[in-house]
Amino acid sequence: MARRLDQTQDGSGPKPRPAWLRYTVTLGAVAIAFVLRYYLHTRLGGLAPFITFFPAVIFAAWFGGLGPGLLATALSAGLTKYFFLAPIHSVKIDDPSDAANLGRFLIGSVLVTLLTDALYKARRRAEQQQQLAEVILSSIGDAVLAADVEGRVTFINPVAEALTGWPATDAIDQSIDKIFRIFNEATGESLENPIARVIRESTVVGLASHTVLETRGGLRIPIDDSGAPVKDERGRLKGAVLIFRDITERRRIERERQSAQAELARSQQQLSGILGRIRDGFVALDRDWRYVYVNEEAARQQHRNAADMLGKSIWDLFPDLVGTSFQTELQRAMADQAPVVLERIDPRNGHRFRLRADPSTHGISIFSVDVTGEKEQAAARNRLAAIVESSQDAIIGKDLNGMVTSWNQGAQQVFGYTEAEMLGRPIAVLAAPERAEEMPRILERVRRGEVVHHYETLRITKDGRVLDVSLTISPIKDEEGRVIGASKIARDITRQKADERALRDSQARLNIALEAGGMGAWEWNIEELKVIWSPQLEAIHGLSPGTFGGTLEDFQRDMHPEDRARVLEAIEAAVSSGTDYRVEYRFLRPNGSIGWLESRGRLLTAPRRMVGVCQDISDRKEIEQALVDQAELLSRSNADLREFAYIASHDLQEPLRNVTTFTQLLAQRYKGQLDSDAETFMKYIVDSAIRMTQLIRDLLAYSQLIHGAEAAVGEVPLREAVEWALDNLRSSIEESGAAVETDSLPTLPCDKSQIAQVFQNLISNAIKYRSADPPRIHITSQRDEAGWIFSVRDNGIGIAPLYHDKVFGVFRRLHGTDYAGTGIGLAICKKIVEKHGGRIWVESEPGDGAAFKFSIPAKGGSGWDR
Amino acid sequence: MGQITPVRILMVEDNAPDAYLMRTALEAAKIDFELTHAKDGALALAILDSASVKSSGTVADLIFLDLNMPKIDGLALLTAMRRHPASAAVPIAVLSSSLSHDDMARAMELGANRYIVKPIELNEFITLIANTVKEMLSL
Repeated sequence: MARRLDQTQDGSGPKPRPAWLRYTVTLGAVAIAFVLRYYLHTRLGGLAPFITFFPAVIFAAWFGGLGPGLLATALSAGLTKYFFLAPIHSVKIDDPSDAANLGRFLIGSVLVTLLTDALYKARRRAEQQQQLAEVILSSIGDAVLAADVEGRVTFINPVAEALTGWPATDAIDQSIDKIFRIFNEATGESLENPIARVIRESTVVGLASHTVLETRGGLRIPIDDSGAPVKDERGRLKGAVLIFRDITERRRIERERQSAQAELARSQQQLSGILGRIRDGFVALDRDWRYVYVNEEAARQQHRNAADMLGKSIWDLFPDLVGTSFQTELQRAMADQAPVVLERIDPRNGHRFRLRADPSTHGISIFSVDVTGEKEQAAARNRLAAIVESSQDAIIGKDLNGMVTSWNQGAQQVFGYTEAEMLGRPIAVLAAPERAEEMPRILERVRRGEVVHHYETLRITKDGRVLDVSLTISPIKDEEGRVIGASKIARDITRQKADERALRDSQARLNIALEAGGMGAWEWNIEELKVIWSPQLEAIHGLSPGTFGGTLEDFQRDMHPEDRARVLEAIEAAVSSGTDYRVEYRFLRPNGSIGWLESRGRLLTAPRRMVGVCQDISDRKEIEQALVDQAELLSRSNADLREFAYIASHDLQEPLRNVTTFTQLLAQRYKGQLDSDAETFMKYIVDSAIRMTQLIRDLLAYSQLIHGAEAAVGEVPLREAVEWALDNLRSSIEESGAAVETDSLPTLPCDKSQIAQVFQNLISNAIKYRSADPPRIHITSQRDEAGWIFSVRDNGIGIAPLYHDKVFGVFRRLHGTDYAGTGIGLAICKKIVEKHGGRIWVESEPGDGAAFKFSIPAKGGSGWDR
Repeated sequence: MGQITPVRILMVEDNAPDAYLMRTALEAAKIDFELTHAKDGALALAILDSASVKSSGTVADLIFLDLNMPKIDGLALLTAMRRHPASAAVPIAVLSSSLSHDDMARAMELGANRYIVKPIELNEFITLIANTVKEMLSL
């Protein structure tokens, strides 16, 4: 505290005594005390050795403070011992009482010095505070008035003099009410003097606001002030101090500040609005080319952080610009204080920027515009406009009151109104009466900034048609993000709705069909692993509608365990290959019986799913099983039949042959020993046995054709087959004198021995059923589009048309035993031809010969063969 | 004809009437022959392995073999004979009542020289056997 005061004194308070003076005076005081004591020594001797030194020490401490006091004490103690205490002229002390006296002196002197010093300092502090208060009060900018408890002015500082118009000389001792007259600024009412209130209440009071002070000259000045009580050290009220100031200037500044702030805020808003909105870069440089402002876009354009750029020189940040024309142009612009437009290409991405530099006395501001895509943007805008104009959808703008602000060509096509008819008119004219309440609701949602997607509703066209439309309504916002209207895209979905209805109808029809067919539909969403069953399918599985769980596990629940792996495999295969899914599997009915299902499905995309139908095929499966059983039975019976044929061929023939040969042997050996009846009987036995053998052989041949192996197909020159047949028939040909003529025959893929058999049987028949004339047989072939037709023509007895079909039956004999044969030859021919895919028929009239013809389809026969 | 030694014929035939018929046919053909008759396959194989056959090298000059026999069937016996040194090179005529093409093809494949369907008439039978013996001896 003392130090601070000391420092303050350096500036304004009284200067302290210099140290040299304080110590000189101390030395002087001690010297005087010594001289006096020396003079008294003659009178006093060793008595009261310190008597003169005490006052010296007290004086030194009073005058010089602690240091001089202690110095005086030390000097006094030293001098007294050396000169006035025994042994004199020595520092030694012999008498203990002297030592005690010296100690008492030292203690007393130090105490005196300390006390005196404290007093000294307190006095100086008080002096300084008094001086300080006076300096403060007369030098502060505030007006200060002090009054005593009687309300009389005791102090007035120069500011208060100037403010009140009362000089101190006039004001002192005047009533405070006379000097300090205040009023309410707004009402003009006189206000209570704050001094009176301070004195009355003995507290600090602030002034009511809007207070004006009336000066001695009658001028009213706005002030603000405060009053405080003045108390003495014992807390008794001695008066009051009033501090007040002229706030005219402050008010003006306040007003200016407020309007300036408002202005600033407005311009800042504008500026940030502009800077924020424009996609231009903006930087401000000071005269030393340092960045003082960088907007986001400018930073972005230069791939920098705005904060990192501030305060740095453009030439330091972009050293590659130094020495370029960019730098010289910019420097010239600054020097000439003339704006300049420059172009710069960003080497990093090829973007082209147009810069406009505007110099001022403070620096230079640069706007930079990315003009790389300027043409493209214009094109994009035009394209957008073209899209809007040419869109099939109605695109309509409206304000928040529902008034149409734009109307495209599509809107005209959909609703029938032209742009001129609709601009400025309420959109509500389009509303269907039954949906009238929805438009305000939509507008309300749009006002809140919501986007309404695919809202399906009804609208009325100009000519009164009701349309199904799908609306998408988005709010239109201004730059500040306020919703100022809405854009509405309306699509005519009348057709689509009709399609949906048609789809529902066809779905219904499908359901009927499914039910009728005992089928159920299913869908398996592969991505979500969810299975949906139609009610029909649930019914097939014995579930009540809606109780199918919908998971793959539910799908497998009633599946026969043995079939599960196969079904899953089929599904897997269909999903991985994209082929259709078809599988038959067993399932357990709720009653425990086993049924069969056939499921077919197809993979669809978006979302990936498989859709199909499932049918209860238990009945069909039963029939199939019955068929399989029957086929097995049949094949068993066929095998039996083959067995029988073999037995017939081997085991029946041998006994028959023995009957024949031994009857003949009997006839030969006993020729002439038996009577003629016996010989006739033996002939009958032999004939019958031979005929039975022939029947068995033919039957065997026929059965082998039916049950035997497929025809052996090789390329056969048919001429060879005919020759083979003629060889076999040589004896009967010679015997009958038949003439057989064969034309050119082709080479065909067929079973050689079978076809030879056909020719043999036909030629044999032609010889057998001859007329009285010698038989003439002509074999020909003929190509038609389907293949080959062969003909065996004779000049025999012919066949009546009635029998043309019957002759090909088994054991059909038209004639009695007049003609040899078993009646199976033509049946065998028919079977062979049919096995080759052809057919056989006869063209004949009785008595006019017969032409047996058969066809063999061409499967690539190879031309003629002689 | 005109051979000095009689033709040695081995006949394998289980059916007594047929065996009789064969002998009748051979006699009718006026051939000087020496007939050995084996009544089944087992006997035929025993003859092939007999000591007398070993000394002479071959069992016969020609063999008639009936296809349809109990126990060892004709085709199996044919196979065995074609592997046996005493009969491997001897002409064999297979006799059968069967017209089956399969049996015929199979017999030829297994090494038969002739396949004879036994004729139903006595004279045919005699003629056929006589012709067959002559043809086979010239092989």
